Amino acid sequence: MALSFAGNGTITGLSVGGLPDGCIQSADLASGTGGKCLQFLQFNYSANTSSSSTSWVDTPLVIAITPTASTSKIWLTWNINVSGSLNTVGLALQATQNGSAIHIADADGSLHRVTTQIRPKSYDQYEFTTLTDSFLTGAVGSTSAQTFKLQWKRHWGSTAMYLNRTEDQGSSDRPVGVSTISVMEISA
Amino acid sequence: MDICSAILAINPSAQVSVNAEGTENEKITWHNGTAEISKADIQAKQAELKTAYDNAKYQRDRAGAYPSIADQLDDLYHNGIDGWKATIKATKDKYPK
Repeated sequence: MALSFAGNGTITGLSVGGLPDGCIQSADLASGTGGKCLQFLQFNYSANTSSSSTSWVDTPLVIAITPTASTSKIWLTWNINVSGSLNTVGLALQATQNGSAIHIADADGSLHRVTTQIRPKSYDQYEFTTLTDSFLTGAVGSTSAQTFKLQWKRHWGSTAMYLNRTEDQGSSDRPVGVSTISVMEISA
Repeated sequence: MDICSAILAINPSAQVSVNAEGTENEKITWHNGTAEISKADIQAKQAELKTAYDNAKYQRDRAGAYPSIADQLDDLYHNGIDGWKATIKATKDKYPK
C-alpha cells in the first residue's frame, strides 16, 4: 500500500515495523508510558556465608543489569537471612551501585552510616533475622551495566555473623536459607 | 563448628569471610592484612570446638528446660528455697553432666 498523508493530519499505509529501528525512543512517547518494567533480573544465593570483617566486604548478593535506556531507573530489592552468634554481634548492611554506597543514611557526626543494621541477641544463633528493603535509583545516565552489591560488616562485637545459616548447626531443627537480590529496569 | 568461628578462636582479631562452607565452592577470603591460617590448623580447632560443644550439650538442654525467671521467683515465693531447689534439680537430673 502506498504511504499517503491526509490533510486531516493522519498517515495511512505505514506497515508494522515500517519505521527504522531506534527512530522513536522512550522520551518521544506520550506521557503515561513511563514507569513500566522493561526487564527484571533476580539472583538467589542458596549457599552459606560467614564473616568477621569490620570493614565493608561483599556478600555473595551481587547482580548486574544493563539498562536499555539511559533515562531508566533501577528498582533494587533484596531479602536476606542473617544470624548472629552466641555472643551478641552487630551486623551492618549497605547497598552499592557500581561501587558507591546508595540508599544510606545521611551523615550524622561520627555515627555509623548504614542501609540497615541488626544486633542479634544471645540465643539468636539458632534462628534467622530476615532483612528486606528496596530502593529506586535515579536515572542511570548510561546504557552500561549497573552492578549492585550488598555489603556487610561487623560493627560491634567479636564473633562471626552469618548469611543463610545459623552459627549453631548442632541439631537438625536448625535452618539453612536462601537470600535474594533483584533488579528491575523502570522506564522513564 | 564453622570455619569462621574456628578462625576467630585461633585469632580473635581475624578479618575473614567464608563462602559456601562445606561445599565444593568453599572459599576463605582474608581481609585487611589478616595473616592466613593453614587449613590443617583450622580443622584441628574445629574438632576441638566440636568436642567442647558436644560436651556442653547438657548445659544447652538445661538452659532450655529451666522455668522462666518469673516462674522461678513465683516458685520461691510459694514453695521456699527447698521447693525451688527441687524444681531445679528435676531439670538437672533430667539432663545430667
